Order: sequence, then structure tokens, then C-alpha cells
Amino acid sequence: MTPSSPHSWSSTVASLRKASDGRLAGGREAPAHFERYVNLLFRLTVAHKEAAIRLTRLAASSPAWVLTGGYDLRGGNAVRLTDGRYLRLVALLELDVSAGGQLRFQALTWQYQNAMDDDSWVFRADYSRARIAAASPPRGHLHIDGTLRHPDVLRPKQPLGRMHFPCHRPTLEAAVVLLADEFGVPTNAPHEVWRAAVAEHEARSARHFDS
Amino acid sequence: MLPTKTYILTRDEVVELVRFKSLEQGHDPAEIFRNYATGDWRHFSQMLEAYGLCAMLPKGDPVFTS
Repeated sequence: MTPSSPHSWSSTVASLRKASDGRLAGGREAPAHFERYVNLLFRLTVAHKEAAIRLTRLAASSPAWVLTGGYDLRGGNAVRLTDGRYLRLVALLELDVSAGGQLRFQALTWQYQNAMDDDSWVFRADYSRARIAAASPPRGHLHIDGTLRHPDVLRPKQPLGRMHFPCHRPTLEAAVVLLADEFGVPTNAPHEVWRAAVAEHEARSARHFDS
Repeated sequence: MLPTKTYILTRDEVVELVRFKSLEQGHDPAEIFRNYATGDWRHFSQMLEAYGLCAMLPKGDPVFTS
């Protein structure tokens, strides 16, 4: 059995399933299960072996948690990827008391970027449960940093990177698939292993978003 | 497993961390606290961790009005 054989990943896949069940069960333990789920999802797919994530909460009772990339509380929010680039990740999580303590994203952003701490980004997905005003962008939307072949379609002084492309629910599984399948970021587990895991859990992740 | 860490912070540590994150990104911390309180989460992606830390605090925390 080689380290990258499908069988060698079976315990990780089983742990991912257990963590996924825990995050969806809701309640005070759900954020910790979610942290473990994200950890395993990235371990299975595009995370560099030195990547890290952290979960922050208040000592006193609070419904809010923050999950970000990176280990250091005063450091950045980037998850190091296997291609040497980074995924900046910040998720604001809350337990929805009106839905039996289900874990929800209040806000989420993930951004593929060239370096740890600069603005050389490629694409970014943002999600906010709250809509501030009627003119607000779609709750879930995608930004792409680039140039158009027909830039005259943009309003004056409106770079492409500031356009909001609706994308409904920007799941973390979608980020992983985009990175691996479209941008060729190498994955740790074989394709058939991580793809099956993503297919199993992505639909369930929709429950973390607005219905 | 990747390295993971769960931080459990006091109210004062949260406030200090929001100040740190704000200044690090070139923003006035008072502006970030005010933006959060009014629901005007400008610089959304860049400042989301700071807004998330604000969300841990009670809505009536004095830091949002001082």
C-alpha cells in the first residue's frame, strides 16, 4: 500500500464523515466539529502539510465563533496550498437558536491569492447572510481579478475585480473543486477519494447557508 | 491533520485584537467598531475577521458607542 493509495485515506474519510455529522447536529459542539471538518477537508485535498486553521471564541457565552486560516492569532488568515499559493479563509459562524441551534455562516470569504499577505489575488467568494440595503450585492458573490478583452463593458473606473458575480452559496467544497479541477492545484488524496468525499458532503453544507 | 488551534478569549482580549487587526490593515479601530454596530461592514473581505470578533461581544458593549 502506497501512502497515496485510496485505502490509506480511509480513516481520514471516516473522520471527515464523523466531523460532518457533528457540525450538522448543531449545538455548542458544532463549531469544534466544523473546525475538524474543514481541517480534514483541506487535508484530503489542497492543503500544504504546513497549512493551519484556527477557531476563536469568547470565554463568556456567545453565539459567534470565527474560523480562519493560519495558526497565529495575530497573523494572517491564509491556508497554505500545495501549489505554493494561498487561500485566505475567514468564516463567521453562529448557532441559529431559531433553527434548533444549527450552525450557520453569518459571513464567509475565501480568496485564492499568490502570496501570504499581499493583494495579488486571483478570485474571491464573499457571502453575507444579512443584506444591508436593497442595493447590496447578492448574498453570495464571486470577484475575479483580471482584465476583459472588451473592457468598454465596464463602467468608468470600475475594475473587473469589483464586479459582483452572483454565486448563491460559496461552499468550501466548491472552493476545493475550483482550485483542484480548474486551477490544477495538486491534491493530497487521489482524485477518486477526495471527489467522492466532496460529493458526499457538499450538498449537506448548504444547510450552513440561508435557505 | 493540519495544525489547529482553538483560542478562547476574554472580552478585553477580543477588543484589543480588533484594534490590532484594524490598525494592521490601516483602519481606525473606532471606525471598525462603529461600522460593525451600524451594519455597514465596509472592507468586508479584508476586515471580516475583525467584524467576526465584534460579533462575539454583546450588542450593548460600550466599545460600540464610545
